[in-house]
Parts: sequence; structure tokens; C-alpha cells
Amino acid sequence: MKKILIIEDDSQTNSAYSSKLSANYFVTSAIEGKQGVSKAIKENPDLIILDIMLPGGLNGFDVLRELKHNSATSQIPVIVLTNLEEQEQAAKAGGAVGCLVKANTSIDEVENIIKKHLQ
Amino acid sequence: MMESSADLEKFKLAVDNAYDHIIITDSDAKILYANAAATKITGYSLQEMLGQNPRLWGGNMGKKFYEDMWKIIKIDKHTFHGEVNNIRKGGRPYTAEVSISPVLNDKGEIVYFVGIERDITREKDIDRMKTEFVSLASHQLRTPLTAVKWFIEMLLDGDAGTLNDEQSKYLRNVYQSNERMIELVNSLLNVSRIESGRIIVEPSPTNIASLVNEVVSKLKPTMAEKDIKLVLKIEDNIPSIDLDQKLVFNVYENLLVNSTKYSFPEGVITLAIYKEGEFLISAVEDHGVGIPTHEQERVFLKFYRGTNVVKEHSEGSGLGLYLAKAIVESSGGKIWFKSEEGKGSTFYFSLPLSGMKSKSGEVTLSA
Repeated sequence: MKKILIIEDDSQTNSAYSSKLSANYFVTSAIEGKQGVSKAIKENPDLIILDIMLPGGLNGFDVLRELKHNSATSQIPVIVLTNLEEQEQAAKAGGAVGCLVKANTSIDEVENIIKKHLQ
Repeated sequence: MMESSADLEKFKLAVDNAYDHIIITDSDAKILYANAAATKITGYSLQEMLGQNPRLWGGNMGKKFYEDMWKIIKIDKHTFHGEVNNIRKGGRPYTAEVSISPVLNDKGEIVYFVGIERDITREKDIDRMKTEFVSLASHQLRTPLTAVKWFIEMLLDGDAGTLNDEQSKYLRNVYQSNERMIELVNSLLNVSRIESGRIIVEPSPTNIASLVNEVVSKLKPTMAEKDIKLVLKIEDNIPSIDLDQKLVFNVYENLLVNSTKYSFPEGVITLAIYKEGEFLISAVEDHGVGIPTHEQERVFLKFYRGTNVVKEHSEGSGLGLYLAKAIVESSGGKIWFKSEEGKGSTFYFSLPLSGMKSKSGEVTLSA
């Protein structure tokens, strides 16, 4: 079973991801940036879902930068899922494989894009 | 003579003490007079201003702005109106609404310029804060709306077990209300983007018929619910036009959604697209409820909704036409309509066949 790391501070959103994905994936989550980076290094997930507005000092872009600069995590595909819209270019430039606005994306679409990047 | 000097004194007192900054220059823009508000707003004393050029506090708007301004006041000899970013003595910037009028002698030669400035820094700040507030609040609203959306989708998909028909029906209603809230947030975000001037315009060669077909296929289910028939009359040989497809899509969508919403069941909507001079005209005609005559001038105002439709259709934000107008006008086009209550409305908009001009910015519109 492939492993997905969710870095998302909103507990309900986090719970929605786990509920949808845990039937087919092993889901682990972090609720702030620093914790997300250390979990990514320690647990070596197959894919990371990353929010942008995160508490604890590191926002999503900081996390993305750390992940891409660390040889242990630089190859892991990262999908940015945020409710800020202006982020697509920055996310792609930072090395994310996709960037979606959560409120305008169905949970099935989320699962489909994950599936696509895990093939 | 006594009377005219008393009159003169009266005018001088009025100008000296006016709330707005008023200066008089000669035809070479050398300052001859400045009132008290001018010294207060710019921070320069009267002595520092006299004989100088208003560049003392102005001149920060870029070459094109001043070229246009000089053409209007010196060559066309008309009044110039504009918004300028100036700098007070000491370096603090301020924003002013400015008007400059040439004063002509009997021969039509310019003898003076009268410049009037109103400091609108505070209004601008408040406006910006309002836009930022809407943007922040909207983004924050999206988080709980997303969680609601996703959990309902999972319930409807049967992820938590099979629902009976009644449960599904209730949940679909909850889902639809939530989607409406998401759309409202998207509209508010779009308004705040347009108003903040940070919108990106990215024109690319566009086949108008295929763009319209995309809009139509998105709206098909909504039209089908009311058995609305859509007739497309797109003129042949419309050339490819450089348009920001996302923006223009939004205009067609807003107009077609309105005409669907305000048509009677089984109504016919006609979308005609044709060339006229240097413009491409689009006309969306419905035979629905129409707009009451006395409300017609308010149709494009933000949050306006017709009193005759609010009763029947509680949903709707009153932002669609406001957005459509902002998009069309910023693209060099116009938007207008004719309407009769009880008979229907036709909304028209024009876009230059020469295309939209690109504009760099930070944000795009929400889907």
C-alpha cells in the first residue's frame, strides 16, 4: 500500500482526506510545516499533499523548498491543495507537480490526481 | 469699482479657505498662487511654492501620463481629470484626485492653469482595507466550506454506507446550498480582485464559437432543468481574436445564467454574435421577467438585484453583471441592455476585434 503524507492544519479537512484515502492508501498527517518536513524525511511517503497557509513558522512554500533541497525528499511528488488562488505559478516553480483550489475541487478529483501521480 | 473689489475679496477669501488644494500657474506651469489647503496638503510653504513648477510635489506618474495630460490641457484646451500619486515635503506619499483647467483669454490663448487637488489617501486606504478584508474573509470561509463539500460528497458516494432516497435528497440539498456559498465566495473574491486592480489579463488567439460552446456545455444541465431552449446565431467568418478566455467566459456565463434564471420555463434564449465595425457584438436575448423600468439604471451596480426577481429567486449575489461590466470595460468594450418587465431582456456587449491588451498582475478569476 502506497503512503501519502498530508500536511494540512485544518482538522476537518485532514479528516476528510483520511476518510477518502485510507481505504486505498496508508495515510499519515502533519498539522504544521516543521512537523511535515520531519515526517517526510522519517516516513519517506510516496506522495505529499501540501497546504499553503500553515502555522508554526513554515508556510507551504517554505516546506516545499525544504523538501526539494533535501536529497531524501526531493523526488517525492508534492501536490499543493490550498484555498488561496494565486499560488499555482509559485507552487509549480517550487517543484510541485500540481496545484488545486480545494473549494473548487471535488474529493474524487483529489483522489484522481493522486492516483495519476502515483502511477 | 467698490463693488467689484468687494466681489474680488469675496472670491479670494473663498479660494484661500477652500478645503481643496487650489493653485494657479502661468501658461508655463510656474506657480503664481496657492491657497492654504495647498500648503497644508503638500507641506510646502507659499514662499517655497511660488515661482516653482507643481513637479515640486508631483511628477511621479510616468511619461505617458503627463504627455496625455499636457495634450488635453494645452492642445485640446480642455479640463484634465485624473488620480495622481504625489509626494509631500519630507517624502510622505499621498494620493489625490486632480483636475487642471486652462484659463483662456479673448483670443483663446492660455493665460493660466487652475489646478485643484483633493487628498483621497484616506479613502484609498479604506477601500484597500475593505478589499483586503473581503479577500481574507473569503479565503477563510473556503476552509470550512471545503470540509462540508468533501464529507457530503463521500456520504452521497456511499462511502459511509448506503443512504435511503430521503437521506440522499436531503443531503443533495445541503450540498447545493454549500456549492452556492462556494460560488458566492468565488464571486466576492473576483470582485475584490477586479477592484484591487491586481487582475492578470492574458489574451490568446480565441475562436469565439468554441469558447461559447464551452460555456454552453457547462450551463446545459441548468438550462435543462427549466426546459430552456438555447438558439445560437454565430456569424460566419469571425476571425480569431486575442481574448483572455477566462474573463470572456465569465461574461458569457454571467449573462446566460441570468437569462436562464429569469426566463419562464420552456423559454427560448437567443445568443447572437456578429461583427459591427471594429467590434464583435454579443447579444443574449430572453423572454423572461425583465427589469422594472425605474430600476434599470441600477442594473450594473454591485449587489443590485431586481425587486421583481428577489421574491421568486432568493439565490443570486447581485455580483454577476457588476463583474461582467468591469471585465468588458477593462477590455475596451461596452455593455448595455434593453428590457421590458414581463417581456424579457436583451444584454449586449462589445469587444474590440483587435483584441484585449495584456496586463501583468498577480491574480486570475475564480472558476
